[in-house]
Amino acid sequence: MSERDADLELVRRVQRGDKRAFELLVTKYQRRISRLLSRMIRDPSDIEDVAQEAFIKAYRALPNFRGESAFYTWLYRIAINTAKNHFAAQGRRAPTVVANDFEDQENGEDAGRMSETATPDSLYQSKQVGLAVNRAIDQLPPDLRTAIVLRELEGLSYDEIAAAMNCPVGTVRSRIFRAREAIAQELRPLLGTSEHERW
Amino acid sequence: MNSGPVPLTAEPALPDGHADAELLSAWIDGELDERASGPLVASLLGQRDLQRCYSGWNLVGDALRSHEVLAEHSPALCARISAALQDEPALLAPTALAAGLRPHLLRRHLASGFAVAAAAAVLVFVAVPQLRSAGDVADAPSVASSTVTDTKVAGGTMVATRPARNPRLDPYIQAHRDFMGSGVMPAAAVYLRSGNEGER
Repeated sequence: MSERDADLELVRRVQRGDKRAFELLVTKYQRRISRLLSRMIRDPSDIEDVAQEAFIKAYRALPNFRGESAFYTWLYRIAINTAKNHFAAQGRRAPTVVANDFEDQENGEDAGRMSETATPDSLYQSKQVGLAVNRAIDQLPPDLRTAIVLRELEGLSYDEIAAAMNCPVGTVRSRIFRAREAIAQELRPLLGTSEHERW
Repeated sequence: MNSGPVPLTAEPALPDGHADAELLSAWIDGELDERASGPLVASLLGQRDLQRCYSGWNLVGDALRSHEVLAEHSPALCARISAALQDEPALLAPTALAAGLRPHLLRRHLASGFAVAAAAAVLVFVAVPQLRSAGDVADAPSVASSTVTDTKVAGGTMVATRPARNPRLDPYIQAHRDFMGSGVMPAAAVYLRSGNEGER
């Protein structure tokens, strides 16, 4: 199975009436949707409103989702249309940069532009998270660091990572898991979450 | 902020089901076997520890890919959407589910569908006519001896009509059946009858 199949597993459960599965999809994609919308909308409170509206629209439209495209591609299109409707309701046109940003998002690439909507506090926190992640990565043993970087940044499959690192796939799975947990441990106090809280 | 080293030597804080957590990590990457996926997702939906891991690891992935991941994101967004979802009805979309089958599953369903259709076709076009002809053969003695098969030409198409039976011959036919035991081997009756006629 692929990451797309994992999303489809959740989608099927939502289509069978399980709302909790949709919350997991929200958990996964909330930051990417917010980042996408932040390139279109200037007001941070509007970003939050439009993001919420987009997710609820997606939930309502989920009975029509047939899995012909990846869930996140489908979700992003809904988010963009919701943002366009937001502009239309305000009598404004959506910025033309949207299309390019959408392509960046679909390819999983970071456009490398910091939004103008971010507040000093949010920028500071974002920077701190970035530093904490980099610090955690630096402190990982080389095998764990290589495995998580190849997976998260390069997007390699476990088979490809196993071939690159000359080790069994099970070892790759274990290394990625341990790396994630170590980085998450580093981020947890920064975000003010205890071990028993949701992120 | 915790500036100490990541506790790599000590066991990190994991949910009770350590194995489940590692499976969850693989599932997030789409690397878990399909058979294990369903039970794992069921556990994920029911266990807060696993949900915490899921949420945290997705944040780790987003943070690795983008330094601006939190800058435009409201921590309250997820809670807001969860609250809004409470007002939404639960979905039931069986048609979308069927249409959303993955290609290999679709092929499997199509293959089994074709197999059933083929079996039904064989039954309709081969077995049923044979059974009917067997039944006709069973009736053949009476037909052959008592009626004339009629044919009509209608619009250039040959249409076979059911043979008419002369009711005056019914007692004779019944006596003949009783004699031949047609109730046991109806299909063989015609041959037995022919043999008897040949001896006469």
